[in-house]
Amino acid sequence: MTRQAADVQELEISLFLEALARHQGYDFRHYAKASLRRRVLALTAAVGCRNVSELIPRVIHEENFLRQVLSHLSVPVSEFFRDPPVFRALRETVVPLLHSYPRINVWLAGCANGEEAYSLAILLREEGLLERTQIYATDINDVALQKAEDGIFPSRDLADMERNYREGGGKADFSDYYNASYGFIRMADSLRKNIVFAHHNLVSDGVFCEVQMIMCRNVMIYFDEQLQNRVLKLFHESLTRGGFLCLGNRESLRHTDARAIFTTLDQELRIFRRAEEGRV
Amino acid sequence: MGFAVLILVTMVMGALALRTLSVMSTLTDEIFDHSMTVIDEVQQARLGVARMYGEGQRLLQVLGPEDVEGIAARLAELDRQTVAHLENVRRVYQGNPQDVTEALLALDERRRVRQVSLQLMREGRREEAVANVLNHGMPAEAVVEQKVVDIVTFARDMAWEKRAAANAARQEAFLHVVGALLVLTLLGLFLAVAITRGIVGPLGILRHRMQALAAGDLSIEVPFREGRSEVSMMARAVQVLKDAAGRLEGQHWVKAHLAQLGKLLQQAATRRDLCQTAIETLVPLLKGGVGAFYVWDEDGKVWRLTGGYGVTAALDIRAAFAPGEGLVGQAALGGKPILLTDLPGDYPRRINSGMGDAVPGQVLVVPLMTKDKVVGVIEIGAFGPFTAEQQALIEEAAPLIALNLEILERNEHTRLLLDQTQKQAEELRASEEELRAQSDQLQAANEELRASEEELRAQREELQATNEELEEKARQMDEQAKILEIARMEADHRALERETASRYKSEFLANMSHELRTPLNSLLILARSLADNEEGNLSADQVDSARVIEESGTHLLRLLNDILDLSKVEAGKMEIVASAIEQEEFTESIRRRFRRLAEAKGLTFTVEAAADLPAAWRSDRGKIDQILNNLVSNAIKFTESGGISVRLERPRDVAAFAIVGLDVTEALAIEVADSGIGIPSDQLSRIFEAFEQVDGSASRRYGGTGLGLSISRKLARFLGGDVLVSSVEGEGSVFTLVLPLTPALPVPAEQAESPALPPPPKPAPFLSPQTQEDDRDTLTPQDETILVIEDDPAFARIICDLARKRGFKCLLAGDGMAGLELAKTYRPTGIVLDVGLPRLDGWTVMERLKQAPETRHIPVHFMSAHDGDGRGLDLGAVGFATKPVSREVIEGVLDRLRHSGKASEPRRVLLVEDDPATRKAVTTLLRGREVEISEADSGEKAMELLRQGGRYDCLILDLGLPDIDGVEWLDRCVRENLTLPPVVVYSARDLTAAETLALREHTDSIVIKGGRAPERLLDEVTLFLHSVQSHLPEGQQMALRAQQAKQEVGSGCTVLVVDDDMRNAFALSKVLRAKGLKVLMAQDGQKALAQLDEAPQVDCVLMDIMMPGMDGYQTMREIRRHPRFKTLPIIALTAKAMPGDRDKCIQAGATEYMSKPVEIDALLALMRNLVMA
Repeated sequence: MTRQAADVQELEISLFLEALARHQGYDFRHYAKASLRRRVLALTAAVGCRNVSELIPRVIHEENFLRQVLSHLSVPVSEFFRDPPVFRALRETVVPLLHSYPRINVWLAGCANGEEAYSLAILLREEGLLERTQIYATDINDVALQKAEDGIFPSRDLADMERNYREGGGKADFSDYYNASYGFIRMADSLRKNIVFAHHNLVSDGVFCEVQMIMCRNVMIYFDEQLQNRVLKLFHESLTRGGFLCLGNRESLRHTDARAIFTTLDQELRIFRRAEEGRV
Repeated sequence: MGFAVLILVTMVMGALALRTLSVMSTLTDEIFDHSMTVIDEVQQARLGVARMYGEGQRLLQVLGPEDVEGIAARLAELDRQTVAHLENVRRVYQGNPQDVTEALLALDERRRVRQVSLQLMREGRREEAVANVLNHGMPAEAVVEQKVVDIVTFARDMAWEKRAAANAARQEAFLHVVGALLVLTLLGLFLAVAITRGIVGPLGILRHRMQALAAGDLSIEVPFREGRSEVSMMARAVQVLKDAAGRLEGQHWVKAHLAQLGKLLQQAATRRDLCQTAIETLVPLLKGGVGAFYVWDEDGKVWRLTGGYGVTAALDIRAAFAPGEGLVGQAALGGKPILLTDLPGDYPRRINSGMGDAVPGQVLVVPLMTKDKVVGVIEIGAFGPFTAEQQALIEEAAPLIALNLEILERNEHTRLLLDQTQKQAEELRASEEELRAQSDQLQAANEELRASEEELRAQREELQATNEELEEKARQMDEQAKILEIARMEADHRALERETASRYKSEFLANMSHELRTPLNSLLILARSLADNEEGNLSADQVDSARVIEESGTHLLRLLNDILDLSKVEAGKMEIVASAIEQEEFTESIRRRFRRLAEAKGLTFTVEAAADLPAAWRSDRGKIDQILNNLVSNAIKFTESGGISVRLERPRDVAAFAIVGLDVTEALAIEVADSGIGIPSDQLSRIFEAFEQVDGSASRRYGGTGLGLSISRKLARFLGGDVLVSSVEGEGSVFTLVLPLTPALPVPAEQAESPALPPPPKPAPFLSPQTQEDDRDTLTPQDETILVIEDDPAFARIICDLARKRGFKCLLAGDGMAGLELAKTYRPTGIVLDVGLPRLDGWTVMERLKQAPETRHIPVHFMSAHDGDGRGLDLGAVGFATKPVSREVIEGVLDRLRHSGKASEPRRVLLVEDDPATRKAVTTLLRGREVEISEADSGEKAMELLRQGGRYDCLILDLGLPDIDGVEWLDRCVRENLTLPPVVVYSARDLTAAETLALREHTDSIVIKGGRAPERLLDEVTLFLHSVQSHLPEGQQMALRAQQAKQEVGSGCTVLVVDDDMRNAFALSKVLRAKGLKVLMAQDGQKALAQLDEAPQVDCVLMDIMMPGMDGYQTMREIRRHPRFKTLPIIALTAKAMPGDRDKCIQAGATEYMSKPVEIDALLALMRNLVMA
């Protein structure tokens, strides 16, 4: 691609993002540039447009196009008990402290297809906390949210799930938590009962609830520094005193403004706690 | 023939009778038609005439003309009728027509008379009318009567005539009929005799025969077949019938047995079955004794015996024939039946008939053929000859059996094929299944592939994003490195610049010092002479002043000299003047020089030299003297007791000297050890810097310029050695001068160490505490006081004024010692402390303040030209402000001291807990936190403590109290208006949502007991103990703000807050309650609806959107469904800020929309608008 073509493409993308932000209110302009560019191009190809500019009239005039756009621009990847050591650490380090709260709210920001929400529900169930816990699992991708709410997952990764579950400190049998048939597993209703799946946009929306723990893993890697700072501030406001923040294993607070308002509980596993100003 | 005559006669008879009848009938008709009609009509006419007469009579009697008209009309009618009757008579009358005409004319006449009479009557001329009638009417009437009688008479006569004619005709007919009957009877008799004789006899015989035939007896003989009579023809016909019946019988027999055979054959399931059935059925029918059935065996290529009849042993019969072999083979080959008859009794067995020893009379071999193909052969042996029916049967049975055989074979074949097909189908299905499974697998694999591709894409995406972030980080690092590099270069550059500047400065100083020394010299001399008061004209005071001038001048001179030396070294102007130094003489000179000085201070002074030293070495004796001078003077200066020892030796601590870069074997160490105040370890590195002393007050206390050590080290380094130091604070110091035994080449200027320009010497007037004007005499215990320890009176005054303005009373101290004493005496609220202080510097004052229990809680804020931020805070100060400071900074410091002062009062915690073990545990937990704990083991007792007005910073509440539930206890405290400190609930049991909700009205700090709970309890309690206003929970701050705006909104309104988030709900409810509003709360949509039902008098609803269960949108829709809530103001509160969210809220029924975090003033304004409207 010539330099000129690349410039044109960049212009197109920024116009598209502008349209998306101004017309639909979804502001992707502070997402990490390169990865967003790839996803916009993938979206262009997927909906059969010849170039990015053609997306613009569609995003403005087509009613149901937004869903498709959001679905393509977000990256709903997750798995059950992803990074098992994190879940082990949650059991060992965080859960004992959560026990001291009468009611527990957990916010899963960027829940994708919901695997993590169910994993967390299983963990809390085994730790005897699920009954007094409300899990809020949010995402901007309605398609993924619907999948998450259905709680149906292909069973081909079952072996991986079970291994992760065990490595994450699972105390029972993973199969206790789902029904399998036709190559799929359906998560038990008793888990779903304490999960609210809802639409929430980290870019624009605010605090909706006081929470004791926030999990937001592998979401902020797609954000630029400015947006990361905004989100971390939002998390700080949402968390109760001493509440826990759990980030993805490639994310850190080191380069953000937020390093002053969180203390590190486990640098390796990216578990942090809300710090009180002046009491760091 | 006879019959024909009979019929003819009868017909003639009939004809005669008919003709007679006809004649009679005509006559009768004539009687009726003529006579009857005529008589009847005439009688009618007579009647008419009579009535006309009657009317005529009445006419003559009537009175009025109207009656005349009525009678006239009736007369006219009667007249018309009479004429009509007479006309009828005229048509049929056969007599004289004149009779009728005359009657009619007479009638005409009568009519004319009548007309006249009528006319007369109309005119009233009755008499004339009567006369008219009598004269003219009567004769006319008489004529009519006459004629009528004539006519009737004629008719009657004619009738009699006719009747006589009829009687004659009847007589004639009777004679004819009697004759005919006689003829008929004679003919009949003749015919009867002829018939009986020719027909009835033979017919009876024939009838018997036919009856027999009908009964099935075909053997009867039919007679009378010869001849041409009807009977013989009938007999011939019977014969034909008989023959036909016989043939039918035979065919029936054949058909019946064939049908039966067919049925039996169809039942056969196998070939052997079929053959056996066939032969067993056929042989008896053919009256045979034996029978065999051969079927073509494809495998053996022979005709094989498959069924037998009357075959008792295998030997009886041949089991198989080759094609063409024997009768069987031949029959099969030829395809034609073979019948052997009249076999002789001794017929040899050469004829392989297959029969045993009994020789049958006849043998019939029949091939079974279908479509020119022989499928089997049947051989039947019988003793008698075969009848035609039997042969027919066998002929017809053969194809049937063949067909059945073939069908069976075909069936078998089909079955085999079917089996095969089924097997193949089965196989096909199996392979299909397999295929499908494979395809399923394939599809699954495909899907998996696609999914994993998708996942891979996503993961790649993620990875790439990560990489990009890493790249970004790396780039940032690079940039930082670059910046660092630039900074380093800049630093290098600066260093160079500084070095240059430093050299310039040193040169300048070196020159200046000389320039200064000259006038100073004269100043000193003159001051000295003034002090001596040689002329005796000065007061003692003036002499003192002069002495001060002299002392100061001397000090200034020393300072100048030192600076000069320092700048000389730094400016590179120093030269080494090397000479041989005798060790003996050198030690002696040191001893001589300092002994007296030390002894004057009561210190011991020893100088010794190690034995292994060389007797002499080369160095710059002057500079070594200068260094030692400095070191030893210092040692004496800083030592109050003990002694000083100087020792010459080879360097001992090889490692230490290695740093200097000396060849240790060629070096000399001169060690100066004292037992003085020592140097804090963290200050060791700083003492060699220019104008540094361990303690800012040292220069004042011990004199000196602070440059000595700096100059010493520079000189030592200049000589190729160094000065090292080790010290234990309070025990003494050891300075070691290390020198090479031969001087190194003169090094150029000092490289790294270039002392900063000294700050202008501080004006250091000694301000005695007593001279300070402060508030110590007007203090009351309630006053908040600030102690200012500052040696600059002007600055002290400034702080003092500001403090007074802020309501403090002030205490002033000009030096550290005074400051300490004042602090102990008055225990001020806070202390402002300078660092550089006379007598006792700020650091020391701080340490001592913190050591003393009575002053340790007093907050201290440093305010100094020194830059000692970290150190000040380390010592426990609340802050450090570096001079120069602005007025604002000072005010900030004062405020901080005030708040810290409050916070630093011992914190008091009220522990409400019935379990002594837990009380002990919590007490232990909080120990060392400067906390005073009051314990209460029951709710009542705790309340009592609160009622007594005890001030607590925090309350730890167990929910399971023996006398009252925790929640209720809190409610009661609120009702009693007891001031509750921040509450931390410490509960042993899990709480229900409702309980949590109820508790949250009082606190958001709830700790459930458990493994890690103490940790959190400590956190929560500590938080409250340290909280100042800016750290108040959001809710309290909001409450405060709301209080400030209390006047604005009218109270009494009821607001329903629907929010699952307790933090929000309570913050809001606190604010709103503070505004005088009644607040109801609901945790979710269901509860909100229930609340609305129970308390319909809600003026406004604040609705959170994201709630578990029924969310805000749904709840609003539900509310709007009730007609009475159609106009209820609902304000939706949501975290969502997307453009579409507002519309969604409004659509769901919200009146207004606000995004979180809620701007409380805006919310209140909005509510005001909505509720007022």
